[in-house]
Amino acid sequence: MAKRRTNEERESPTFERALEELESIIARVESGEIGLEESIGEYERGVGLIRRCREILSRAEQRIQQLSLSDIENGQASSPEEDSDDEGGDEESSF
Amino acid sequence: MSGRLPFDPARMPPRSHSPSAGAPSDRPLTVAELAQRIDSALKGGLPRTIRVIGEISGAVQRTHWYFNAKDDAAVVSCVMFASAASRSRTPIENGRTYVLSGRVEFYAKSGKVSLLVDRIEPIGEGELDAAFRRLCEELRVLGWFAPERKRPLPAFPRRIAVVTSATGAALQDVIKTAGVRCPAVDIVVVDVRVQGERAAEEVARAIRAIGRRSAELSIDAMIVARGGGSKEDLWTFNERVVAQAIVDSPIPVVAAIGHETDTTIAELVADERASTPTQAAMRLTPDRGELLRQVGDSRSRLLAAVRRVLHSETQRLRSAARQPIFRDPAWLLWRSQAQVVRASERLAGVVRRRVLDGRVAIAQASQKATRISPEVRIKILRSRLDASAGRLGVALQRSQRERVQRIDAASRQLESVGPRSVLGRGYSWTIRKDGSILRSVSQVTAGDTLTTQLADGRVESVVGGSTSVELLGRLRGSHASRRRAVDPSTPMLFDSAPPAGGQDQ
Repeated sequence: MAKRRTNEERESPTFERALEELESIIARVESGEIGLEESIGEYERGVGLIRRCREILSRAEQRIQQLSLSDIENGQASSPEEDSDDEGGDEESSF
Repeated sequence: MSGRLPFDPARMPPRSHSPSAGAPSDRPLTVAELAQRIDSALKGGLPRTIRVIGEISGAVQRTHWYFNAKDDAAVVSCVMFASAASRSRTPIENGRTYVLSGRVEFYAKSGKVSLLVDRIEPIGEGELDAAFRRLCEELRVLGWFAPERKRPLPAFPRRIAVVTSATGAALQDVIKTAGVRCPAVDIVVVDVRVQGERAAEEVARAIRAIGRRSAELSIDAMIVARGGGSKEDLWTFNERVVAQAIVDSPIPVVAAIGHETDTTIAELVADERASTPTQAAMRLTPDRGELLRQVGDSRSRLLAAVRRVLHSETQRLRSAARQPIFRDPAWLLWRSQAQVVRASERLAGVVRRRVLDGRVAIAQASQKATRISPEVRIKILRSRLDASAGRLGVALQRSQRERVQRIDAASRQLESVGPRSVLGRGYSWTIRKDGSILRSVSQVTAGDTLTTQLADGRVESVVGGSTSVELLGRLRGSHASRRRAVDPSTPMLFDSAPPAGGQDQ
């Protein structure tokens, strides 16, 4: 379970992580210390992160899970990532 | 009538027990006697009517009501008989605290002490406030309200857990607010009782279970909420178990209990206190519009930064393309030729300079050489030679003089010890025909010719005879005769001449 989640995190980071990484990419490119080729590579990564952030924000449907006390105590409930990465496909064209 | 005494239970026991009362105390009591004594001790030691504040548990409401009154430290069983129960206007509920009035009795048949309750009243404002203040003080001392203990809330939680009643208005407020602000934040509702029996325990268990599974379920924060209600209704959130669970939570907790004016312990220990459930949802869900703007800004900055890099690189490329080498390849050749020409010019310059330097040196040297002519040099040398010759002459003369003086001195010294000066004092030496010095009597025989050297000449003589030393020894008394005989044979003559001579003369 934990292994799957870390994989998932690398491919589709949380909003906070994505925004943080985006900021550091911008800082690197703005510093002018990296060359053209590296800048373009960073830019592409940045575009991917922006897409990820928008994807997360654009989810219109609120997901609510209701559990009883025994559900949460006895290991019921699922982690939210199970069906989260299929949305925002049409966002790619927006950048 | 007289034969039958009327049975009076009130009077019977003292009478039947009167012998034992006065009897020595070591007689064992019967159980009934003990029970009786316990009962009278209780009645004697306690007021007739007692008021007790306690939480009700294990209530059984049949004809009579049976329940326990408890607090953290003790439990007392209670009975409310049907007559009193039917009159009571306060319905009892497990887990809630009431003020009970009644008297204490020892029920001998079951061996139990019970509070026989006449009246049940809901707990008064005063008692609740007192309990609240006590717990507040205790938790403040423990540092549970300290601001430095409180954790910051996540900026964008993946999931929020809400501990509340699934049917309450508080949940609906949270869901609605979160949905408007950012539907991307997931919500997990854990349904619990928020008032009444076991409510505090359920709330505490829910908070702990969420904390335990927060990593697994990606829950980044939780809301503990309850809508408005009376002070008693909200009492669950003033219980220590709830406060403890919130303090122990590994993820930040936002508490919103009742209305804005209500303050509960749960809110005081939570990482963030919200005035209402709506407020709690506002605190924990980010504003989607604001975040979209932020992402948009980041996108613009990234684009601008990349464009700047592109622009400056393009500029560099352009200026490189303007270099002659790219415009005219023959320029490279021309440049090399120019370099060769410059190098040879430099070389020629160096050579010229060195030749010139050499000439200057030679000129200077010859100038220096002609300044001293041979004539002058000869003159100088001659004067130097004359001076040397003069000095040499003086030195030679001085040394000659010294030598002569030394020779004179030496010859004077030599003369003073030499044989001739000895001869002058009257000594002589004799040599034989073969020229050897005559040293012993045995060397001569009669008829030998000897030559004796004296100071002023020689004497030739012929030996008439000789006498040995043994013979001379007899004549020891006479110095002169002995000396005469010894003298010629003494080789010490030259060494010790003065004392010998001095003695002689």
